[in-house]
Amino acid sequence: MNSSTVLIVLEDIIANVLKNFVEASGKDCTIATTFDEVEQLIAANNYQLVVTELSVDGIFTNEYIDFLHQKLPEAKLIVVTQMEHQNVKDDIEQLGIEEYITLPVDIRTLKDKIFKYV
Amino acid sequence: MLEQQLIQLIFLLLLILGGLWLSIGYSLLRRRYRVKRKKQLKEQVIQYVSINYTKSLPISKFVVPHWLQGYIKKSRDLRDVANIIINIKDFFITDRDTWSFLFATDVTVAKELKADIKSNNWYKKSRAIWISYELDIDQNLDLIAKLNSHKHILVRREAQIALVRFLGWKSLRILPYVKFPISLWQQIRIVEKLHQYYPKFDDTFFKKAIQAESPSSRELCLRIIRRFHVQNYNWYAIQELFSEHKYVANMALELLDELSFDEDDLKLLGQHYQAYKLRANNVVLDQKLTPLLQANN
Repeated sequence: MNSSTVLIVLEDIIANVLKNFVEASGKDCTIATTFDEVEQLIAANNYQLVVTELSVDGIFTNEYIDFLHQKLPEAKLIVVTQMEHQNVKDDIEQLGIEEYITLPVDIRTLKDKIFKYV
Repeated sequence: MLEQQLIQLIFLLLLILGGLWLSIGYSLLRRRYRVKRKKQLKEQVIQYVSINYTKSLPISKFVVPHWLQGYIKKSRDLRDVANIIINIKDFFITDRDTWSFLFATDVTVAKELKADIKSNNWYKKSRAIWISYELDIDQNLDLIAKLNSHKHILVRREAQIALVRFLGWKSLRILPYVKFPISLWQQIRIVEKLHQYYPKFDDTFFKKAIQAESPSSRELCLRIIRRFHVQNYNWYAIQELFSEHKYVANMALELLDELSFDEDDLKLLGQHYQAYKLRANNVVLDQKLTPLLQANN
């Protein structure tokens, strides 16, 4: 299994912009846009950090977070979402994630959070 | 004779079939070209954002690159450029200092949008208004403001949302003059846009909005009271509870549970209720109001 640094699971334009920012700091970064792609990448690579949208095509949110925990037990999780509701935030934080970020986000804040874990 | 006619028919059918194949082939090629062009655009915009972010140049000094100007000038490509920028702005907080290159793009886009807003085609008009408020391009606001009662529903809907986005509470001044009913979906969009960009309730303009007489505008005012938890308009909710328009009365009834009434409010509610009972009978209203009024007697 290869060892990579950051896996970004976001809409492709945003994921690519973020990938360029992360790679500019010398960190290794891979992107995925669907759950199928995430499954394939995780089967072949190990990641230190996953930056992901809360809802990913192809799986329910709770199952998805559980899946990431099972397959990448050491990885830190940063979840980004449009959902601001406190009860959603509480529910997701209980699943064991490092950061819950509501959009829109200041890119400096997001970069700081990413580089806190890698 | 029959043989000749059959041959002619077969020839005609072959001709139609050939025409169909040609048009399918053309549309496939065109589609392939569009997909390729869109992919190139995405890649170029991603590079553009990654390279220019944090350059912190003033907008006036930022020159929109030649390749991007090429895209912006074509109406179909402009929609793709706008979609990409909207995606970026939905995700990142794009202040004018560090993201000036995006706003510089908007200046160029504004000129192109003006032509579409003036167009006679309702689709072009509404799309240009949509792009304007999603990208915060307010240069054409005067033109957009005139379209808030346009005869085409999609044009006036987008114009109303644009006014809310750019003017906030001030845009509610138009409510008494709106000529067409505001649909439920549109009311929800207005309330949510207002809450997203102008979360602080502004009494000055709301006072003008409640002077509206059309039922859908009054329903919208009740939705605003509920969304912003407005406390000093209980009298308005009480008055609309007995409206002859079913949707307005139902909205006021929904709102009832979320309001806290003082003595004066209850007195007013009792008076309206007594007057109402003389002219109509409403079981749901009775079930709701009787215990409320009795508990406070």
